Amino acid sequence: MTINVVIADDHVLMRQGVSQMLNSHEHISVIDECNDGVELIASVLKHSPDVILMDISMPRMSGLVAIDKILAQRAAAKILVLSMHNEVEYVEAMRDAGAKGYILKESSGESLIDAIKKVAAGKICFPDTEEKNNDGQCQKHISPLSVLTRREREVFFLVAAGNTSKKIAELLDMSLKTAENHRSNIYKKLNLSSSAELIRMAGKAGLLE
Amino acid sequence: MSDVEQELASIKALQASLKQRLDDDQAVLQQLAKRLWAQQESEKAKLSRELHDGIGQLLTGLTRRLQALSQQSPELATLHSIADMALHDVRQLSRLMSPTILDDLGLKPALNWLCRNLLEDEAITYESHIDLPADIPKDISILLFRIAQETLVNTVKHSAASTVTLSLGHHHNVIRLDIIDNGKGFDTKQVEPGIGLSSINDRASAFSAQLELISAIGKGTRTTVTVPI
Repeated sequence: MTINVVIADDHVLMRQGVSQMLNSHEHISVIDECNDGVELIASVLKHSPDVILMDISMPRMSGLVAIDKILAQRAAAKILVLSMHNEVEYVEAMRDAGAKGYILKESSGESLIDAIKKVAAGKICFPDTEEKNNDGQCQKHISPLSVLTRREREVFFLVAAGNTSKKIAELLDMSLKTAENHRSNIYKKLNLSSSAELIRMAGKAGLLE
Repeated sequence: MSDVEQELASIKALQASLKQRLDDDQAVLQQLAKRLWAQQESEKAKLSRELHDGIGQLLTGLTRRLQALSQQSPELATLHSIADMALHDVRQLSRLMSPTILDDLGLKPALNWLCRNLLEDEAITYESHIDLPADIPKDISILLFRIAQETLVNTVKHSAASTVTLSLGHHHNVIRLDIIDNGKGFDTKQVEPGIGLSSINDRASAFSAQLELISAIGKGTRTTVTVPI
């Protein structure tokens, strides 16, 4: 069975590339391409696609408004958001708006096809739903440091290199208390209890110089 | 009518017409100031796009290639982490320069994003309570976002605070934004406002907004802005 897809993105090269890639898959057919939210709504009403693949930042009508208008007229529409934004606020806003999935533009073609199939089959597919949702999950490679903030990662490397909190505070131009706070947050997030454990973990993950 | 009465009447009329001219001039100036700020935003947006699409793309390419190689040696894994941090920094700079999230999702997610980006890295815990009217004009959204941005940057740089509360509410046709920190505070009479704060003050007056800064040594700082919509 073929999955009919309508795609909306104002970056023409990006849209055509994705479209071409999807069309080369035997069970997916891109039946229309749109340049903005206004065109998308008209296309969805005309073609009733199985999956709507759309960007958020678009001229004339933003993706968020477009989702709202599409769902007002086609409540069962299956919308998969294709976006360059990896921030949690974007993912949450799209989920709240009623999209069925969210995938980053930097993802591989395979993951995109996978996400389209899942959304078409009525599953949901969001980047952080992996644990909650066993059959509809999206694949994501997680580095052990991805749970840390940028600042915490800096502190992580300095701890791994054997620096004391005082030295770290000096190096990063912060108060001793802030450095200690970062350190205890890192331990908490990575489930560690000492700098020795941190160094061991860094070594195992190939993060030691 | 006596001569005196006539003269009084003509002076009153003259006063009224002068007042009218003053009001008109002020309205023109205010429009001009608004246009200037809009122009500045559009310049920033251009620069932000160049940063994102130029250096950002190069760093994305570099990060991906290093990621592919990172299994080979610990040193390459460290290089990948550094490239990834650089990419993160460029993206963040580009987004703070021109917050597309404001256009894409609106003021509430944009303010949450701002707090998360500026405060989380600094180990400052924060709370935000945001209750917005349905439709806020775009220029007011940008104004409130930029005031919050300037205030939070100052908090991070100077306050040594450990908690920040941002609340935004509305009553009738007025929106009120409060940003409160528990930091070391300062004497508002002693400290001259810096460029950032002065520019925010100018910007607020272009929109007839009131900006108030309350602080005392050891008492934290509260920034309040009220703006009519």
